[in-house]
Amino acid sequence: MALSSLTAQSNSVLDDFIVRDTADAGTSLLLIAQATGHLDDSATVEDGLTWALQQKWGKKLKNISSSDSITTGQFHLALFQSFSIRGGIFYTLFGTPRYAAQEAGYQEYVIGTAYVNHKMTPDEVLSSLSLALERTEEEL
Amino acid sequence: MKKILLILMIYLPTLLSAYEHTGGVRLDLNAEGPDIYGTVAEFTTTDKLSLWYESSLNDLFKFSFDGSLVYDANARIAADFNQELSYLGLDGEFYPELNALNMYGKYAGFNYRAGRQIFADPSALIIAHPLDGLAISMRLGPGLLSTTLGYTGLVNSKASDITMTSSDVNLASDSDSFFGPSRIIESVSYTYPEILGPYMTLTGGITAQQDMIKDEKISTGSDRLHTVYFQLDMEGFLLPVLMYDTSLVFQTGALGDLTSNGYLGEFTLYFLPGGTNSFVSLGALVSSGEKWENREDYYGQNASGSQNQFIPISNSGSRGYVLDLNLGNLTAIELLVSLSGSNRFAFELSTTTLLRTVNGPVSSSLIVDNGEDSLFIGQEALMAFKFRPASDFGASINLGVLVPGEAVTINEELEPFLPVLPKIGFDLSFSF
Repeated sequence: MALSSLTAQSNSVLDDFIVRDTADAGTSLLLIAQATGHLDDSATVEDGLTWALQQKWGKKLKNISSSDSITTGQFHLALFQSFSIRGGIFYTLFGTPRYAAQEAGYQEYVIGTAYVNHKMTPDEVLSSLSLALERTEEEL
Repeated sequence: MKKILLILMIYLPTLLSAYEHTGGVRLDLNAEGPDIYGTVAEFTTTDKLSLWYESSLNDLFKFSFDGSLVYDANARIAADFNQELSYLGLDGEFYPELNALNMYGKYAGFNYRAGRQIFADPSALIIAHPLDGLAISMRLGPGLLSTTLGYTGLVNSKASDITMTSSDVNLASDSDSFFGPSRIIESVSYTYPEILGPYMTLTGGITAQQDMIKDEKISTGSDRLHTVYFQLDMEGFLLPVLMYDTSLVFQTGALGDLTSNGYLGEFTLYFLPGGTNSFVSLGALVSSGEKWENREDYYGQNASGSQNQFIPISNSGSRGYVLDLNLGNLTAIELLVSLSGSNRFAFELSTTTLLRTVNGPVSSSLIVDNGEDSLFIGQEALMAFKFRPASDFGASINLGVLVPGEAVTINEELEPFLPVLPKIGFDLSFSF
């Protein structure tokens, strides 16, 4: 399982994350940052958000706070940018959550309709992250 | 009143926070030609600007919209008696096309969709067409029971693909008719998945249509056509790399006072080598027809005696590229090779043998009662390049050629220019 690269993270962060009804932005972004090696295991949920907002694409996340539920568009924008996953022409030109959500549907990170403002569940976040890791490993 | 406001104040924020949505715009551009009509060669462009929107409140209430503004134009070139070509000009028009405006959802094993929607029978050989109505499906035993009741008469006449009778054909060219052919459609089908493991998934179904055309819209020599179709579809794997798909349809009905029966059978084998998107398919289709003595044209003009021509409700299953032939009085054998290393590019090469099943009309104006007994319409070869380099951009090029048989009559003014019938088409699609 590609998510095994995340096992070094604080178990308490993950334990707290997976019981939530909707995935919080701080933990979701922290998982991406740690999976791509931008933050280490000791980083906190707040560090995840701070890291994301410092990125060039971070301003597209717009007024997001650590405890907010993360949407399909926001999460996949962060995921695709961090993993350098290429997308369509308009995603490349504008790089907004809306185009990231559509790209997530096309690339089958999301099964069914990829609603841009869908509040993702922890399972959905882990599934997309796992798929990105798997595909990245396959390309290597 | 206060109570309602209070309830709204309590529940509205919850409902709004659960409201999910997405949407976009598509631009589809198509140009193809020539199509031959008498002494005229016609080039067509069909361009669509579409808006789509999907939203969801919960599993029970979802909303879907897909509407287009279509520009359809024909440029015509004619050959005169001196075999000189002249340009007859461009004739184009805009029209609306609405493929989805519906609510849908699921509850306790029931799925529903209410409103404008595309309905297709299990094999899409009888109908695949927009209608306004209600579709319900539910788990029943090991399989899925699906029912649909709908009406096609609110679809724009230019967007409609229903041409069962001469009256339907005339309606499409009648500038006073905003709406297309009106049919009530009923369908029920049951799919039993993997009844024999991977060897067979079985679907049985009944689809019926009633012709609701007004008396004053019935063309001279035409009549109302009511039909019922009994259908059996099977598909599965004979080997891990060999898939089959077969459909059998029996049609019964009435064209005015005449019986209108017919049949269609199709069998296709797919060879699917593992680890690639490439495949090879070999398919054969046979549908019943009627002789010239019993009808003047494909659409049953001045029909007499018991009619035995299979007539689908819409033309979604048509065969051939150079000659686009509807599924009545048709026998087609097709070999297709599709080569694709990824989902970004595919190269397809196919050849199709097209025949009439009996010496009677088919849906092309190039097949007339010319005294020839030959059933051979022609041998078609088609080469297609399909590109999808990005999620929001796609393109395709089709190059087709038909070596016509003796059943095909090409006007003698055009014939010197057309030892074979060529056709080329381009498609571009953008979504943003």
